Amino acid sequence: MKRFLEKLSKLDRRIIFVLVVFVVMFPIIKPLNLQKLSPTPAVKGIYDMVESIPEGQPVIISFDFDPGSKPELYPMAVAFCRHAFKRNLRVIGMNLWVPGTGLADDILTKTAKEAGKVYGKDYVFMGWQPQASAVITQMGTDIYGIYAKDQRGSDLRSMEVMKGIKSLKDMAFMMEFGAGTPGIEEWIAYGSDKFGFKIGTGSTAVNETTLRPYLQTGQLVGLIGAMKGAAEYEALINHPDTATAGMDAIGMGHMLILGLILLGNGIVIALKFL
Amino acid sequence: MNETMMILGAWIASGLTLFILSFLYEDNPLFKVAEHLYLGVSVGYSLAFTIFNVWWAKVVLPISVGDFFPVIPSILGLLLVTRLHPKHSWMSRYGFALIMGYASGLAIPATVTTSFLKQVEGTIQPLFRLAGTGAVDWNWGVAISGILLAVGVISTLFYFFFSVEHKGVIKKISRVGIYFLMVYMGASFGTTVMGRFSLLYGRFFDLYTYGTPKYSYASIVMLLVVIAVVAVFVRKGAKNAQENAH
Repeated sequence: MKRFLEKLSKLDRRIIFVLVVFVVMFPIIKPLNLQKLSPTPAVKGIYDMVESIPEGQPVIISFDFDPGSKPELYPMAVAFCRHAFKRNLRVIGMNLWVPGTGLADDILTKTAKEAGKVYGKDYVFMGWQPQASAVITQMGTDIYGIYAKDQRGSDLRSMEVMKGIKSLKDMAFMMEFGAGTPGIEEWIAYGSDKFGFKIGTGSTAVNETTLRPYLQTGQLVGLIGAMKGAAEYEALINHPDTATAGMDAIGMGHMLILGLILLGNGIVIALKFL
Repeated sequence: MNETMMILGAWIASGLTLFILSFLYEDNPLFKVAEHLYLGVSVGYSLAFTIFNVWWAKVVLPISVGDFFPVIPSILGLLLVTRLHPKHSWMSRYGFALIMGYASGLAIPATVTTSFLKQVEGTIQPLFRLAGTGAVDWNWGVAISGILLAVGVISTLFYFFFSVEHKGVIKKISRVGIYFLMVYMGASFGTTVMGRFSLLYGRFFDLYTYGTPKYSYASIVMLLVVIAVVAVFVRKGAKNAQENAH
């Protein structure tokens, strides 16, 4: 028994990798629908905010992530855009992470096409600008001072979607999807706290615990945390997609990790008595 | 995007994902190829984007129509490059002075308000509220949460208070702070695990999708290629090790 346990404690890490591949891949091939998600107040905060905005009002979305965080942030960004377009809000997109420019454009274009929205009238993508703190500060007083043209090179001021908008203060709501710095902390410090507009965020799981205090102080309207938060948002808008499908894999992955932690600790304790 | 490009994209994406994942078995040339490509493409994309969206749009175009204001920040920016030449590196100080002054002026008041004052305000929660009639509006959840928050913040601050020796009451309070820190770290680790599984799911979902007939079984073929290359590499490595031993 002791020998077996000692052997088990020195298990080749590659066997664990194979187990991880199995538990993540299995639900993709055969969906299990294990989890029934009920939206948490943090996610519902964002949903309720969007629901409360009257039709035709502008919302601005900053897609501050790159392809490395796509699996976590892409589904929630898609779900949020779908919701905004469904509510007939004017959507203004931008980003602070240059490698994510293509992704951001893709999210807006895809969801706008689904909803039958027109570029320049119902939505616009302003693109990327460097120096986040300067960009946000400038946008707080005059958006066109930093974004004279959109990503496609058209004059932003003359677009119908920008009608009546001069600065961030004219936005009904600001939503940020961020994977780090620059991200929501810059948006709060240089944007919402300073100019007084409502802001919410969608974050990666790693950043979620760091951002919770901003929710507690009311500096954030809501927080969509990682793929679980995205799945909750998909449930709220009644449009299940990739995040909902991914919850089985994440759930099984967590079970495996829990099992391995228990097994590892159990072996250490057992070896002390053998 | 036409179909050929879509299939080609699937082959490249699945191939590079599997090249990177092959490192989990052992370091190999395929992993190195993918790693260098990733770095190169990221830097190239960012550089090209910066040249066309910033340098071209905000410097060259305004100057070409007679607006010479961008010349001043451009010169200050170019002065930063003098850091590369020790004899002339003093010139970079003008650019750095502007950056430091501007960034500090912007960041210090904003950070103090956002990350300190507002957080202190959020930490001091009332245990109960008085309703309009003067009656006490008591909620057990709010009260317990408020007490827990206060105890957590104070005890954790004690743990990081190094001006006095940690013994007696201070030691006990800082010990409570350690437990709160452990809870925070546990929560952080838990969410990190969730994040990593989300990333893995995202890649595997794409690999599964690209393994279908629609994408000419890209993932499956690339997986076989990766296995074959890694096997050859491992065998070669073992042979070399054997020869060196002799």
